[in-house]
Amino acid sequence: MNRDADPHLPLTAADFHILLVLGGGPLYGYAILKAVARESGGSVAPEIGSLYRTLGKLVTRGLVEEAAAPTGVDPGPHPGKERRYFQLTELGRSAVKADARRQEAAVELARQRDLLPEPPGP
Amino acid sequence: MNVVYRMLLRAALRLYPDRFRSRFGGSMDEALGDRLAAADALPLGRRIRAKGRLLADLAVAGLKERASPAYRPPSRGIRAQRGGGLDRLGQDVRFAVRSLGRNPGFTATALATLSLGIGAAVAVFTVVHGVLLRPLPYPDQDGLTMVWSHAVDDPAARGWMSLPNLEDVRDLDVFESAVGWQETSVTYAGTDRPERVRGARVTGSLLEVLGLTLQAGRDIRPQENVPNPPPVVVVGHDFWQTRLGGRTDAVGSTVELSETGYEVVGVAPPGFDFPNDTELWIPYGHNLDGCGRGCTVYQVVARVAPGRTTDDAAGPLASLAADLQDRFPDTNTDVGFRVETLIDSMVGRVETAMWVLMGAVGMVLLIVCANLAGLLLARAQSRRGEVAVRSALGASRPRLLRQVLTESLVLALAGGVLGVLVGALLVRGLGWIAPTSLPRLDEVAMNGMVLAFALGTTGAVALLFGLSPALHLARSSPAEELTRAGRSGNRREGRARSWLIAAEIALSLSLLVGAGLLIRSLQELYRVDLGIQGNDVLRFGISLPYARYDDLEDFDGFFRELEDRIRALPGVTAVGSSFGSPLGGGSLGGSVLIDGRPPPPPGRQNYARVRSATPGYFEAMGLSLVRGRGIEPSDDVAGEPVVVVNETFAAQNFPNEDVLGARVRVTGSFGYAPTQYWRVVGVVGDVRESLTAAPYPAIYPPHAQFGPGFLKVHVRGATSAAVAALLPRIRDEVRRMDPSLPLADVETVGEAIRSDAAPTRFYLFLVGVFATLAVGVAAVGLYGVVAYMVSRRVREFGVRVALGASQPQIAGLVLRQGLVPTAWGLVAGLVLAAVGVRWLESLLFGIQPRDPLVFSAVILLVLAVSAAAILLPAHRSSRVDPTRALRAE
Repeated sequence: MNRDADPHLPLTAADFHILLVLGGGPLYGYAILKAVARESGGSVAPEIGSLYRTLGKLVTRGLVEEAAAPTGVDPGPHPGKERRYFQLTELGRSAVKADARRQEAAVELARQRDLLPEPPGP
Repeated sequence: MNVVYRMLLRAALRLYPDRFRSRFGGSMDEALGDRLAAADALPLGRRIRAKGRLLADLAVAGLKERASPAYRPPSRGIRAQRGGGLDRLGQDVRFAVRSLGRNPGFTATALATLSLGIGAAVAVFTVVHGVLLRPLPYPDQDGLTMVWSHAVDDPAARGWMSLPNLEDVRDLDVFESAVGWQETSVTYAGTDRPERVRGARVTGSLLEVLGLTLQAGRDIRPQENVPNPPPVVVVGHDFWQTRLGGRTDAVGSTVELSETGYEVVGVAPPGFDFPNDTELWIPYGHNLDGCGRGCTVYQVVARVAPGRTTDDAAGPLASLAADLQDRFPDTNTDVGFRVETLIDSMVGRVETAMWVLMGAVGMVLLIVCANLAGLLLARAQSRRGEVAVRSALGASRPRLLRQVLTESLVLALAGGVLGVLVGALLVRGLGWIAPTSLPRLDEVAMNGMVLAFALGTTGAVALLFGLSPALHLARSSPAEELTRAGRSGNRREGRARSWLIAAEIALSLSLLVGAGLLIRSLQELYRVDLGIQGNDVLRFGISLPYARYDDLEDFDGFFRELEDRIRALPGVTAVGSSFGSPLGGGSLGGSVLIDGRPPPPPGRQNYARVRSATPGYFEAMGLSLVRGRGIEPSDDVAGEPVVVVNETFAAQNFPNEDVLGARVRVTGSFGYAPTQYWRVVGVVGDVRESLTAAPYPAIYPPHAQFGPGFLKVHVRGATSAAVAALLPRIRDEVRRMDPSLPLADVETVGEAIRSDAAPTRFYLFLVGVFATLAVGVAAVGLYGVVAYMVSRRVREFGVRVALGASQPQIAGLVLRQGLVPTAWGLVAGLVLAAVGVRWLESLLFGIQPRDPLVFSAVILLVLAVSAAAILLPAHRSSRVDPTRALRAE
């Protein structure tokens, strides 16, 4: 297990959801914003300002990096303006994995103590 | 509005540190574009909230980022000691209060301007919040939408719907439910005097569609919308409380409405009065035989299905319209359907006006800030010595800065508290003068949101006017100040104050232009010839209950006798009745058919309003007879069907032939008279239905041949006062004929005309008050700057006079100093006004937004006021006595 991610744990809800979204591949700002709101069921719904502030911090901490636009995608409705993409770094990937594992363990405990229903069987 | 919003966004972006912006700015800009596009697609209320949230978040995140340690400059050795911050704040506040208290004249002036400015802003925001921003009292309001029908070439029209079209719309998958209604009024005779009560005839469960539950009983059911519907009624909370005594057994009891017993089946929740101060809801009782697909009698509200949005409705509605056009070309050719969110349909038409008022009051606030900044600058200058001494004694510059800012903040907070009080008073005043046509007026109230706004405004104001003395302090050098304390002024500050004055003049000029344009619009509105002479006409509605009056002869007999009785009263010069009335609504309409011509193809019909009238109507309302004859008493049910038309009707349908003698009718059956052709016997002048409406083709069949049983009776007297005084006698006459009949909507036509102009008057009043305030404040500011300059240069003037300068030369010097900011203010103000009038355009009537008369008048006014403000001190300067001036220093 990669211990480099340890100083970054546990992640805040906003950090976690942004990393989780980027786990699916590189995305640009507004797409991250929408995906975070959708995947968190609305519980984490940053606006542009907060989102970029968080992204800035994640970049500084080395969890996220800027990426070239994937080839063959729609350049966006604002010609002349750059659509910048963000992607996970290796460190970011281990951090989000580690945090997901931490949460998984917590969920398991909650099940054992009847705080959560058992998942439906296979 | 969007331009301003984008400017704000750009300003918020500037709050981020440069390093951050150079890295992410472009990408953020792009994301903001996406986000804005998404927000613009939202319905009004959510759109405004989303944009507000976006802006606030951007600004707050920018400030936080700037404050984060990564961007803090490296420490420079000795740092101000940490801790004790609260202590020092207390000290600063105490110091500020003491220092303000020592100068009561300054403090009172500052507080008065501030509280007026903040109070006005708070009052206007309260109205804007209550009308525009506050959610409707219905759950999940974004799913609620009005459905309108419209002609294909008039896509913005808000046309009503027919029952079959409504049912087809309701059955679309995109809608969960839909209900139609028509406003009505019924006579309630339960109390000692019969009264008219506002009601709505509905096609189904209105409350259910709006997402509300009744507090007792059940809603009207769709299956009750049949010919001869069951006499059931849902009553409003207030009706239940006041008329039914709040009895718990009210549901199941019977109330008498228009002489028919209705069973109360439900009680609506408190506060529910949809669509329009409505107190009763009854089934429509739709008869498809007389009123089919072409018979548009409903307004429709619908709720979209779960998971769908109002935007999803456009596609299905378009295909439905196309399908109906194929199947029912007679009624549905070129008829489209569209949705409009409920909130937009309620307040959309006043949105611009609200933002204009907000903009105007914002300008007043800016002027107030500029003025205070000027005052504080002057004060800072006179306190230079004090500051220099404290600085020399070891006060650090940050400490001094904080003190200056604390003083501004204390001032602003006091002003803010007073401002909220002033605002509360103003809101009450606004409630009195606001036109009753302003939607949601009853929801206007001060609340937490308003207080938050007041707090935010106060903070912003403190920052704005506190900045200039703080900057001044930051730039000054104590040593230099100590050596020249008390001596002649600093050029840079003089310039700063001149700029502030220029800004004030520019802002006041644009406000004046706004007020001027509204004055001209009101003038134009009052100049409109409605085609009637209504000032001395009293009118009221009489509605005969079908239970006892059920045919044309009954209707005619009643109104003939009533008119005869009123005509016999002393002081009455004419009496006549009609179905509906100009500026009073109510009329029927249909497309025109002419005997001997083939029916026009679908989509090419001409429409006409049908307004049945009694013989005295034209005289009572002062309509001029252009040709032929009016309606005669002999035009009764036994006579030949005849009709009088207006000039627009004649011009539109008979451009090249004589209209007199032609036989015309309109499509649609109205339920009172047989469908038949009428022979045109006369032409009367055009009448406008409202001050801003163009004349519309109209025909006037005799009431005796057409009905219906509810008319507006018009009584003309010698003067409006005389006719108003007749009201008790008129009531007596009505009571003598039928004691159960109430008089509805009693008013003089003059009052109706005035209330039609009420919105323009209201906006004019507010903008006028703001403009006056602005000009006053700016003039005082200009006077202050010039007077101050004169007092600082007395010594110099003394020297000049001693060296031989003449008094006019000295006055000219002063004039020039005052004229420069005035000139800049004029130019900037003209540019601002020329751009800003774009937003005012929809509030104007009959004039161009860049009306040269208004612009030149405003320029002259500003010049005159400025000249007065400059000349007073200039005059004083010219009387400087050189010996005294030189001795004074």
